[in-house]
Amino acid sequence: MKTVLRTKIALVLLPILLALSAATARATVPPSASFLSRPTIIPIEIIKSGHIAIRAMINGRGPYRFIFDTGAPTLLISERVGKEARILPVDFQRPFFTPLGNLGNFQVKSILLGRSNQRYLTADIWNHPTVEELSKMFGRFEGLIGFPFFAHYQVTIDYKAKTMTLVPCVYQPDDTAKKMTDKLTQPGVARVYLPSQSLGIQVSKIATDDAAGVVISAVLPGGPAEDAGLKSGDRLLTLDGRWTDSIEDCYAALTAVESDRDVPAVVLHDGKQTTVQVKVRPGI
Amino acid sequence: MRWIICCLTLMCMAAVPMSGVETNSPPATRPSAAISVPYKLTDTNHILIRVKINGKGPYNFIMDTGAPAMFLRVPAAEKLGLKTSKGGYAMLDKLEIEGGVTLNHVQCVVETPYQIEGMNAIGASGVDLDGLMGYAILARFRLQIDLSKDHMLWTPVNYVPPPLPTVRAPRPTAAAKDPTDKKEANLESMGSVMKLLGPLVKPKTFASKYRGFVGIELAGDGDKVSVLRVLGGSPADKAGIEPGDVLVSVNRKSVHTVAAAQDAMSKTFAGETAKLVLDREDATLELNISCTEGL
Repeated sequence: MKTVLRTKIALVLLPILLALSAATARATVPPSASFLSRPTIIPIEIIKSGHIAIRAMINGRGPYRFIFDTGAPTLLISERVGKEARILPVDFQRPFFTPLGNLGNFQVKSILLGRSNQRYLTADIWNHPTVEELSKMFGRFEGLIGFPFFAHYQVTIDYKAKTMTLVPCVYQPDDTAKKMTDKLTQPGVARVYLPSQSLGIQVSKIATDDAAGVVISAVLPGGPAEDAGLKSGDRLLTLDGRWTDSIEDCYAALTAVESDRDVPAVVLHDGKQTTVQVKVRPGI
Repeated sequence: MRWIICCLTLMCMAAVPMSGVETNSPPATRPSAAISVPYKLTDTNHILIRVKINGKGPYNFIMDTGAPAMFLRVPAAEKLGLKTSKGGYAMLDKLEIEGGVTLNHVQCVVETPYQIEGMNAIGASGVDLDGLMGYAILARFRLQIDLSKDHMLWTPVNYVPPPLPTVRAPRPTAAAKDPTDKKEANLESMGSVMKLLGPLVKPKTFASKYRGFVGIELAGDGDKVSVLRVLGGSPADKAGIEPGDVLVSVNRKSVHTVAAAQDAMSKTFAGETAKLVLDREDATLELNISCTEGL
């Protein structure tokens, strides 16, 4: 019964969430690999609000001015460009209900930045209030370029040089909306940590201990940590560059190590901070 | 003239009406080498980084080129005992970003972006979020983002971005005359809707489960998996496993590779029992191992 209730509430919440996030709700054709694997260097404009403005061609039309936003899990395109670049069907009828003005998801055939082209991405056609507000102050913007585009690239943003470099990468983004639906309808799923490598230590942290790091409560004889000279009682501060301030942090850091290699560990030993290399080993 | 600086961000990418931040302090980070900054992609496809403020934390932040400054959630700022100026700014003595970035004397905006409030209410991102890391901090680095890797590269460029305009605009209300303001206010109110309904769907805690620890190092030769070392005092040691034993099956699944052995252990967590079958010369050992926590 509880699950049914949760699902019902989730179904009520989802449209709100999606209206907010403007996430992609429609199954998409898998985006093709980019045309060219050469890096594209494009100029960026830093507007007075600190936002990054870029110019993009949409379905071969434009260029149009967009905000480049790593905090946006979606693509947003204005109604004007939706019509002009033929993202909206010719016979498009405005739906009766448009949550906060969002006309919904439509497929964009091509988004081109410099020489970097992505095909068949889903965008929300939406005159977003914030984009409108920015347009009033800093000149016309036609939307936001977010995660569905930039996830396909190694993106280098250089605010000082005012350039952005795009090199295609192998990452295949998944659907934000699907991830969120799963999350809302199957709540309480635990995060599971399954490190493939072993260090040979046990760690502990008592509730009242809010200092950085965890205590290494045991260094198991014959293991990698003992080989590296770690001692029981040492305080583990970082593992492979990641903070280890909780037991969970330790598992997260070790899980991120995918093969047996030297992993730097920063420890406090007798009050002195040292970095040791621990050669982790595969095991169970 | 109204002068609102909007912050495009997050889920809704709607305005957090605010001004920029004056940042006159030079970057404390050494210019030169790239710093490897680990991140996690949240369930909402946001780039999550962890920071420490004045040595406390870690706090979860979204890396957001659509935010003009660093935003810190009000309760977190209060807990840190930060002094907030009239304009809503606080000066941080020390800001550390996981991976090795340290900045001294930087300003942040103490404000709870409603998107953060909304996402936290329903647990959308899988963790509790504490703020946004935006332009005023990000612009000090050349930022390389590659989601096929588990870390970013941040290279200090010895650059402090020019201060943004510092006039603060009032929050738009639903009663606003300007239609754009009105729409924005509607958008913001969604944060409260989610806050209201959120507790009904939000997982109670973000629970974690850890691999059950046996305490053996394994090596595979493509056909069979052998025990290379047994860690002293581990559950394996107590159960009598010895180096050279051949691991035949794990939890009733026969295993021929190290990865298969690990996979067969993927549902056995700390505190649970694993069934191992090992061959030693002519004998076959069937062992129930009480797995502990262990790294």
